[in-house]
Amino acid sequence: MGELSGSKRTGQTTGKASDNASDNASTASGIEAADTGRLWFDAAQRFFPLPQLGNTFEAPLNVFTKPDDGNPFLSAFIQSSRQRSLLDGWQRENANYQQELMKYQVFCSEVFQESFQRISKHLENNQERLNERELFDLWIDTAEETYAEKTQDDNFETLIGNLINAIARVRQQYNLINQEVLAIFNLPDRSEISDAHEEVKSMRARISELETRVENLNKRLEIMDADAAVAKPPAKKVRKKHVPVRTKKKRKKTI
Amino acid sequence: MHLPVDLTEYNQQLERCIEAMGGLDEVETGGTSREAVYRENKLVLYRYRAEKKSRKKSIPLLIVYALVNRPYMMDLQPDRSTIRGLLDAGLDVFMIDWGYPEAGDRFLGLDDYINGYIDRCVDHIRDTTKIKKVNLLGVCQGGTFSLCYTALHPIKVSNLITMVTPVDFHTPDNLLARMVKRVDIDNLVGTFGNVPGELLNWLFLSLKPFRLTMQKYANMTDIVDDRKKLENFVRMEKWIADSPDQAGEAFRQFIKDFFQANKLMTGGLKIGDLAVDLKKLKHPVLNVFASEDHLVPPAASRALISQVGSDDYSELEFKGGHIGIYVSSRAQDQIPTAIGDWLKARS
Repeated sequence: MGELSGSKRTGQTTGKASDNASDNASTASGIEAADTGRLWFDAAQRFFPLPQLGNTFEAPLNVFTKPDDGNPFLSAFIQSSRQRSLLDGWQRENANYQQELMKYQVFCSEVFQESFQRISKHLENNQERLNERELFDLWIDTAEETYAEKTQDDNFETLIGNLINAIARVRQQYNLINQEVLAIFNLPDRSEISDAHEEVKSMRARISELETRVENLNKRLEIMDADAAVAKPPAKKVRKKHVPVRTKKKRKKTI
Repeated sequence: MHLPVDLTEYNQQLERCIEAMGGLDEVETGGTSREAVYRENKLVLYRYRAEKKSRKKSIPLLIVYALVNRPYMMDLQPDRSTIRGLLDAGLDVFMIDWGYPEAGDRFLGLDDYINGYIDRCVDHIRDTTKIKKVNLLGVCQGGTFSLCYTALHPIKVSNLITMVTPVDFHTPDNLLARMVKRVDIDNLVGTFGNVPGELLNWLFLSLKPFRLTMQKYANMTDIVDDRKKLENFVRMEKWIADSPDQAGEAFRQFIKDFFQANKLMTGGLKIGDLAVDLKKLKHPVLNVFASEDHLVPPAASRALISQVGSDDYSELEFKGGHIGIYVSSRAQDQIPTAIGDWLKARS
């Protein structure tokens, strides 16, 4: 199954650029290590790869490629034309993603190459004696400067946009395959779960609204109770007035 | 020069560094005493406790953090804590922790966050403190939310502070905006549901890839023998990698309306059914920005002055970066005190 991780391909496509870059740097500065640039470059690659989305794609695709022959439903599904077209769709989008990834890697390698060229020129012109750390820091500054300049190009917007869109489309195909697999096992698919999530969200909003209304009503009730309490004293006076009257009556009776 | 030899030495030092890190305990964040005073879904509203109680009752300050990354950046560790500084300045500090959105939260939109969650937190604070208005402090994306909130609910806000807050998303130096300009957000959100935090992290690191992914780790070897510095380093790394996924609908609207259409500048922004007009925002505003911010360029923040209708607008420039404004020692000295003084002058 296709490997979606960017790290392997980065190594293939950008290796040449690093060779050139390191050659340029070492020639100009008199550095004995022709491999220096490549060493740094190899280290850099570890930090450049895109988010590792590869592994998550593997499991459902394995269901297609390694069918359980003992499961008649699965076997029937795997042989269907729909399954074929889903696989084709995934492969097409995956190939497109690899192309976009390669373009991005070429861009990165250009940044590396140009930054090394600039350093070479700088060292040639300035005849500085730099220790290793200073040289490294100079390269970082130069590389960032080069990167900042190159990202100003409108093509960079397209490059990144296409790359992210390609990742999304691979994932989209993966979702479709997943949906088919779930249906085989009579499990709710993504759209059904999404509907449930949407309903939960709308119920939460309704509950929250109702809670607010209940709270407001409670507040009003409290105010009304307080108002009523203020208005009650005359009624209490009436009761007090009645008591002596009754007492008197009682007295009268006893007399 | 014999660089390979030095590289070998460097590699050995790197190995020592990795070994030393392996010997560290799990790093802890925070440290300022706090209490959860309100909860809703994944959201928790915290109220922070000052070590010395202030006699004077002050207007509560609600910190609205961004949805990306985690809010403990504001209280990273005892000697690097904006919140501690604000408490020391005599403020009554609350902060929203948005939590980690899950699949069931994918339909939460900006309306839910701004007119829902923030509004209910503000109401809770007003109810419990018996103070009619709160002060808002919005951080980064949370600052953009706070601007919208204040414009939409003016009677509930007394003063507004924005920190490293993007307003104009189309300044020429805004690389992040350019990176998402051609992204098909509808398809991205439709496909992923919630947008993976990992993808966002990659975008953030791509803004300064050489410094953030290489130089930083090369410099790490300098602190190998200093346990405290190594712990600080790991704590920062933990925070950087701690990127929650983004609720799909909120992400869709934020990217389309703010990053792509730049509606705070061009107009036509709606949160839910309510139109946001910053010209109606007449509150005192303190706009704090960082001069070397690679994520929200100063110009993106400073554009606020042309948009708000306030007559009482102040700016505070911090010489540092997007993160340094919270964690650097200079920031500890300057930022909370400046905010405290500015608020006191308006209380």
